[in-house]
Amino acid sequence: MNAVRPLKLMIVDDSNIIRRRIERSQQIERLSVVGSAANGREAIDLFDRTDPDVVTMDLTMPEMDGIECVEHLVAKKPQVLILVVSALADKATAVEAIRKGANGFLCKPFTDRQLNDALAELLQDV
Amino acid sequence: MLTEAEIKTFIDGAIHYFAVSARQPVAVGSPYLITDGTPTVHEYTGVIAISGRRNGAVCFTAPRSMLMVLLMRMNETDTSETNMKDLIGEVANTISGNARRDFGKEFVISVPTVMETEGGKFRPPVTARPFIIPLNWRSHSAKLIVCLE
Amino acid sequence: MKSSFNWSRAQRSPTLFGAALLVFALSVLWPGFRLAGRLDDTTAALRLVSEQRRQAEVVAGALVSVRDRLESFGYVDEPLGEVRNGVAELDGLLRTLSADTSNAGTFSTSPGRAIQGAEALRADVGVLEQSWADYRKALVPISAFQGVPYADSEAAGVQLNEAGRVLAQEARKAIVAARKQGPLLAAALGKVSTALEAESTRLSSYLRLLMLAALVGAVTLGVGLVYFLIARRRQAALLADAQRQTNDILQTVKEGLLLLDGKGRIGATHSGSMLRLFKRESIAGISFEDLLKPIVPAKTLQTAMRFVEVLWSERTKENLVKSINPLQEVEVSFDTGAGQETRWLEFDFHRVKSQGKLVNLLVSVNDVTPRVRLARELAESREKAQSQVDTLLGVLHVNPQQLRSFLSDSDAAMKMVNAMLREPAREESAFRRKLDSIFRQIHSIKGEAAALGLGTVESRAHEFEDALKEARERPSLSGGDFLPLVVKLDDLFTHLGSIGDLVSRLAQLNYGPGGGSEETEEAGAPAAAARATIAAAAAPPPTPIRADDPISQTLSQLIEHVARDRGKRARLVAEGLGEVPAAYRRAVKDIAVQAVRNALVHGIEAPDFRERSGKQAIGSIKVGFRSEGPNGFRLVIEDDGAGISLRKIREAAVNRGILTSEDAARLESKQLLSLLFRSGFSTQEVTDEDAGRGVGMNVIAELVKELNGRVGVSTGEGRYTRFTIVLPSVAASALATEDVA
Repeated sequence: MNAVRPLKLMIVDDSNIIRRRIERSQQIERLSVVGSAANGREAIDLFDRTDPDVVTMDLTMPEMDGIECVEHLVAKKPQVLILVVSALADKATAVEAIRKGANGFLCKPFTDRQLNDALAELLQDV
Repeated sequence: MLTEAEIKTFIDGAIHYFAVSARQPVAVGSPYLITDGTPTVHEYTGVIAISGRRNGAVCFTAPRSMLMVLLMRMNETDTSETNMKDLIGEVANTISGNARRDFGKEFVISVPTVMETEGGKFRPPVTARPFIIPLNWRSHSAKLIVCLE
Repeated sequence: MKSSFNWSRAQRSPTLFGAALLVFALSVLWPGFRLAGRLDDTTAALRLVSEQRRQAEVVAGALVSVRDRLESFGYVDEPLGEVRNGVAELDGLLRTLSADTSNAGTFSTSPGRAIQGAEALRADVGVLEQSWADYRKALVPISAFQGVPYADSEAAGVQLNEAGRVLAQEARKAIVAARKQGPLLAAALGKVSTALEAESTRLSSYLRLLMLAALVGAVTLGVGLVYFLIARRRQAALLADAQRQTNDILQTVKEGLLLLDGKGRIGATHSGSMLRLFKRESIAGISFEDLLKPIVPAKTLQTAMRFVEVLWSERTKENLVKSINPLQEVEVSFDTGAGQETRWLEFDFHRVKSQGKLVNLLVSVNDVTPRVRLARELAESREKAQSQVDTLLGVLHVNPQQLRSFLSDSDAAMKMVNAMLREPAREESAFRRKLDSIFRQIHSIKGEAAALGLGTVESRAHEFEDALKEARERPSLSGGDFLPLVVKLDDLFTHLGSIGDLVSRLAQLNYGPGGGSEETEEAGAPAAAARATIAAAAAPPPTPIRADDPISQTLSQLIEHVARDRGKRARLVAEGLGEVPAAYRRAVKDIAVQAVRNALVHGIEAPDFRERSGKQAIGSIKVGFRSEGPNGFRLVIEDDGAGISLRKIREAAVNRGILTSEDAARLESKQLLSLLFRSGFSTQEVTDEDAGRGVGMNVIAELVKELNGRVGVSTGEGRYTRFTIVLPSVAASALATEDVA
């Protein structure tokens, strides 16, 4: 197990506040934020440029929603780890996101601790 | 027409939002109806259009002062107008999105539209009687407007 | 459910046993076989050496014999043959011993191999060879002798010929050599022989040890085999036991259990109730999709299959999977032949792993139909309560003019309630005040609805009151507690709105639009009420009206309804109610409704009781209103019933902890009667829709207070109860209720 390999984190959320919040609050040492995007389309561009290992993904976004974006990212890089961070609290949505390739689900609103726990769980096998 | 359980969903959503995001409880005032005319709103209003099984809107309206404090409670140093609008949209989005826990996937929510409604009135997009849920947080007052048919 | 049985151990045992057997064979039998071969070689060598040990002596003897015979001209061929034979034998021996026979077959005996295999023996044999080589040199001329050693001549007789002389000479030399070499050779042979014996002993003791080891090994293996067999039988027994238990459980558990394999097929192991739940003869071997397909809509099936797909993906974590199960309440429908039967099933999924690999999904299925049905029934009964049929029937019986006034009053009251809800409140006390004010409004709607016989409205208002009462009893109040009230208010708004619509539709049906209205609408009254007026102008009054003014009408209908429900008889004696100024009309009606209701419920006795008491069977309730000029107005409500029992007030006050029994005994009648106006005070034990919430009196007191009036009560036990309300002149009164509306 390679516990020190640094990982690149990309944040996708249409809310600037949430983007900044995740950037500020995430305390996993191996993760370093490489950029953030405000919708699915921007996320794909940024993904191509930065090749992140981990992504936090909002679902309700203009331009391209999160589920579609998850599908694109997983197609580009199957081993990417995606944590869906969304207010959509119904199970069908969670199933759909995970089926498309997401690896975790964090429901908004969240505390810093919940965020870090969710990220840690996501990375525990890496 | 909304049932008690349905409105409870939104009230719980609001309470949960403040408890988690602001780490300070919000006091829910007694809810009431708008029987004629339009609800009075605060300076900013975040509107989530609802479609699918229900039709209508869920809005969160709050004064600038409250959004400012809320941002600060969230450790956000940038209290610009842009961020306030962002926040009000996010609150409306979170409360509506959480409602899908009870309403299911057929409760389709839009991306937030944020309006500057200073001193103005807000006309809900449907004919249903709007339910107003007053929210008192610290010394500020905000409202959740649930208007579904 | 985890697979707790350790399959690996059971599978490993026979393999282990086989391996042990192989190792045993290789490590014991093969060396044993080799050892036995060597022992055989050694024994053969020893035998050879022993056979030749005396050969040196024999040869020495033969040499002497050769010499002696030569001297006596005897026959030398026999000893010569012995020498030759000796040389050949020893040559053969040494050839055999020093032969490199490592290529000799495993199964053939090879003495040479015994020598070649041991370093010490090889050295000894070397010495022997040397010794023999030396000896042999002396023997060769003798053994090589051919021909006759004698010459037979006339002259000399028998004499040694030339060759004979050489032979004799060589024989003498050989005897000398034999004397020296013979013992050496014998010693070398002896040494080799001893060494071979030692080797033989060593090998046989090795062999013994090996055999002993083999014995131990065999015993161990035997014990192991027995143990293994026993263990296997025990495992088999346990397995059979577990299987039996599983079957027992599967047959008896109420919930359906099934196992899905990687291809989504249902395994042979499933609970008996599974078949019952899915109404099938057999489910083994079919796919989960096939199981669900006929009984759920395509969309549900899609969600279900997607979820199952997610379950199989091992990269999805267990916690996550559990939290997103979308099949916790699935509506399924079965075609029973006689129609569709709808049920609700709850699916729960568990991953079954074996050696860290996901092998099965355990699916448990529960029939949650009763639970779901109950919830649906509650919702349905609610909806039924809203059904228009009841409403329609109710509306048809009401005088349209009264209905109009009721709708407009109720609308105002509901808006008032809404305004109260809306009033900002953060403290407990403010919330409590709200509850009290709302209660009065709803109570007056209920009273009037009851008077008009509008059961659907009355029951809603009654439920509203129940909710209010429930809220009131909470130890602490917050905004959320008002939620049921708002929902009920919304419902009431909708319901009264639909009554308005109904009335207007009826009016249009009968007379078309444009019907006249005899009264001007109040500002803010709903359009429905206006339409009700249309109906009022045209529809014939369905119930007999004994007085002309709306208040009297309302009161006499109230008396009619309540009296009928309670098996009482009473008549209204109205006086001056048509002269109530518009500003007081609503208040006077509300007060009178409460007071008349109280009079009927608490005051007027049952007809037979009245007759026994010497009263008229039909009770009388007087409601009088008159102007007293600048002093305002006086409203009197009086019944000829049982009066108010001071004893009952005392008891109720003590029971409710308002007074101690000593205080109660001390209080005068006037003070006692004032208790009636306290909020929540009633002498009636059972709460019903008509009275007994202890609200009626309180409502009167509050209404009068809002109008800046005064209220008094006087009573004669067994004879009468009289409420006297004094209201200020209209100008002096602050009409709070109208402001809010």
